[in-house]
Amino acid sequence: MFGYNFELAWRGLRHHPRTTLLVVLTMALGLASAMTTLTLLHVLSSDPLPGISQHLYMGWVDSRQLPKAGDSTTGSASGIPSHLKLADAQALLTAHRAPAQVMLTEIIQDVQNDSGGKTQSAVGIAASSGLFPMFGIALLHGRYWTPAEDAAHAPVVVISGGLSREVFGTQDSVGRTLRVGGKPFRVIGVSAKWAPQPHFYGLDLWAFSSSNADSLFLPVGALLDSGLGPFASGGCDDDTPLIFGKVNVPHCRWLSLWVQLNDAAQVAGYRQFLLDYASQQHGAGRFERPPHAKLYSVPGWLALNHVVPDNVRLNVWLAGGFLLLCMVNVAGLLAARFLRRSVEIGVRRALGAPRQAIFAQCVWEAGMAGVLGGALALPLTSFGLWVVRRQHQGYTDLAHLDPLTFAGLFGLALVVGLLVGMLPAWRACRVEPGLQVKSA
Amino acid sequence: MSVRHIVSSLRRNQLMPLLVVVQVAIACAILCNAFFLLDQRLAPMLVPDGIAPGQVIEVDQIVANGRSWSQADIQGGRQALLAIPGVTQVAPAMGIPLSSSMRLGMGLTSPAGVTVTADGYLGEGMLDALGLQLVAGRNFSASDYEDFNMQNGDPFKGKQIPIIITRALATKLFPDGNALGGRLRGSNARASGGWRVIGIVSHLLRYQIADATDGRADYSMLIPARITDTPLISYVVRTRASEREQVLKAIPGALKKQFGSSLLSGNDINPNTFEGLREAVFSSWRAAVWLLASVCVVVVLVTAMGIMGLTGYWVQQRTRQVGIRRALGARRVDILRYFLLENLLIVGIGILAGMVLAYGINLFLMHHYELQRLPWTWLPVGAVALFVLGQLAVLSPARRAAAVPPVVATRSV
Repeated sequence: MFGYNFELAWRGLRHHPRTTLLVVLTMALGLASAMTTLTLLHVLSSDPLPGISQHLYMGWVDSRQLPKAGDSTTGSASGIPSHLKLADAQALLTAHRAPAQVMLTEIIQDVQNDSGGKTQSAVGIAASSGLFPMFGIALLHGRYWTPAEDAAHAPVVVISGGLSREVFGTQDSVGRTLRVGGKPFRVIGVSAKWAPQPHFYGLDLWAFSSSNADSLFLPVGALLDSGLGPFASGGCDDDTPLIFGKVNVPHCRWLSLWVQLNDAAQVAGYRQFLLDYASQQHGAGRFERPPHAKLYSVPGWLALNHVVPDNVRLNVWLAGGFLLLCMVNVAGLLAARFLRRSVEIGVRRALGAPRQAIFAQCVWEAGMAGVLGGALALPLTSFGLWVVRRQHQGYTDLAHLDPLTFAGLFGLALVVGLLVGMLPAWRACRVEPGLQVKSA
Repeated sequence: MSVRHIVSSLRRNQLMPLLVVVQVAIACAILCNAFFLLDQRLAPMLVPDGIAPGQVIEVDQIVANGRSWSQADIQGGRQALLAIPGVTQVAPAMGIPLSSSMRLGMGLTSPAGVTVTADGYLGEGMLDALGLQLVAGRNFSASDYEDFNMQNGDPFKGKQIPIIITRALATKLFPDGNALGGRLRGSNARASGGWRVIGIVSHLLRYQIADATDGRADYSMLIPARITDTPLISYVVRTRASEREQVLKAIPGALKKQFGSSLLSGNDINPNTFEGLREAVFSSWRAAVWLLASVCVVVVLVTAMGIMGLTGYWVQQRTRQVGIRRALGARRVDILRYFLLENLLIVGIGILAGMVLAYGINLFLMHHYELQRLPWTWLPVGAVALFVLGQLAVLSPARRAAAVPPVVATRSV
């Protein structure tokens, strides 16, 4: 039966090559536009650190002063407060209430090798020692720094293999001295390429990028000791002017706290812990505002910051509408072609074919048109993604089709083909055999 | 042949016209919204920016390391830039066109009661450095300039500040036409003393191209300010057109030499020509315009094909009836008119449904994304496009039907 249906469908498609071409082409256009926009959305909504990020949470307690009249708020670019003062971050860190925790801040510094080579700018993270295992940063050479070195403010640095090659001309630069903002740091480790997309812990710098990646990792204490200071702050207390490169360390909020929490009980427990800490600080008079704490999951934090541009979702809707239009169109074309074959159908029915057989034949033909359209949609989607990449908006450079996505989208093509075939098939199988045979 | 006959004929044969109606409705909804989005993207790309072509360089965000730039620092940088051969004007500025750094939105209220939010460009000598065209009033004189301290909550200390606005802003704020000398109230705590208009320029693009929609491209103003105590400063540099490329290359060196270690580590000085910035901003916009335009074209093509295919079949189905009508004395033009009218009716129903759908989709998009309300003027545009499309699509099948000789009525089809 399978072979018979297949052959009938194939013959049917070849019978009217012009409408077949039109049906397949329309199907391919609709599917390709949907595939292109869905692929982009899929890439942008992907997990930044698969296997890790579902256990990562960002903790925040409100250490801001009470708002004053006429205040213009200075905060992170997103406007959502997320930074902590050094004292609070350290207190929360040393409490060790989560299985793992880290405090971090993004840095941008000039770096140079020890023999007076070219100066170049590097982006990275100043953090406490928990960073590497928690964020899954693999090492190619050497080691990462220890809690003891953290406490001792040891001037050590881990750099990426790429930065090592650019600065030292070799990948294994362990033991060399790297000048960071003019200050000597000893290279103790070289990390593998690590560029989570989106850049969830430093959205102020970029969200998606195929060219930027954090390549410089050093202890927070050493950063402060060397006088380099944090790069920027998420707001300061009174009378602390906005100045770059020299944040007023105790009075500004410039650190983020990330913790690893493995189950719902731990999440609830940590949330309570943060709130308790805020209440205690408020009681002691350090926090002016009523106790307020937040714990953001990675997906929650990304959604809150509108990391996936509205444009991308808008285009998915537009493409969805277009696909619907194409489907109605194809349904119409198929209905016309099936009904044109009323005589043939009438003869089959007169010879004893049940309605189901006619229905199956039509649905088969539609399904096959869907599959052909899907196959043609592949090159069209590749073309569409190429057009998208030409926009160069950071995120668009990441738009590539992976086989798994395409398999999913090909399934969509088949479903669409079958769905579209239903209505015309139902209409065709209601053809009265007697009437057709007579008029033939 | 009346509409009633067409309707009764339609009611007997529901599937084909229904499919056309659904198709037209979807196409109408998509087209109205796509036209609107296209216009939102295209309009800002076509507005004049008022800036002297081929002469302007912008140096954005020079960041101080661990301190603020003083007025002496800023003037030093200005002199260093002026010393580069080929440079004719330099304006220290806060906020420069098409740049990504700070933006100052100023709420302005005119005596006529009109309130708009305009982008404020603060700086010294901006009009000459940008090469703007003054159409009325005068440029700032030395006595107009006030010190502007970034860290101060009310930098102008309640003084009334003279400003230069664009012609578009002048027309909007002063409908009676007396913009020069006009007073404006500010809704901003930083401008408690209000403003006085002393000059009008033909055009000046606002900071962000994305805000330049719906005729608001020129909602910007110049504010005379000697900037001081700021963590970051920008410069607008005007050059002789022939020497701009050399100046562009010389700027980072000149400023690094001037500011030395006062520059923030890791922050590069990155001057751009205005045209370069424009190109960079527009390249992604152009891609979006192409995308939306091709969506429109493909929607139109697919719909035309669909209507043609369906009507072609449907008309062919009725060849026999056409023959009978011809035999009974109907002229060719009657047949043609019948099918055209029928198409008009079906497409009309589709368009009505499509307009409702378009509006609904727009409401949905407005609710979920930062999108403006679809102006109703786009609805007739989409409707007319589809009416024309429908008539064109039905023309060839209808003519074929009209050519049917009466004699087919006597034969079996």
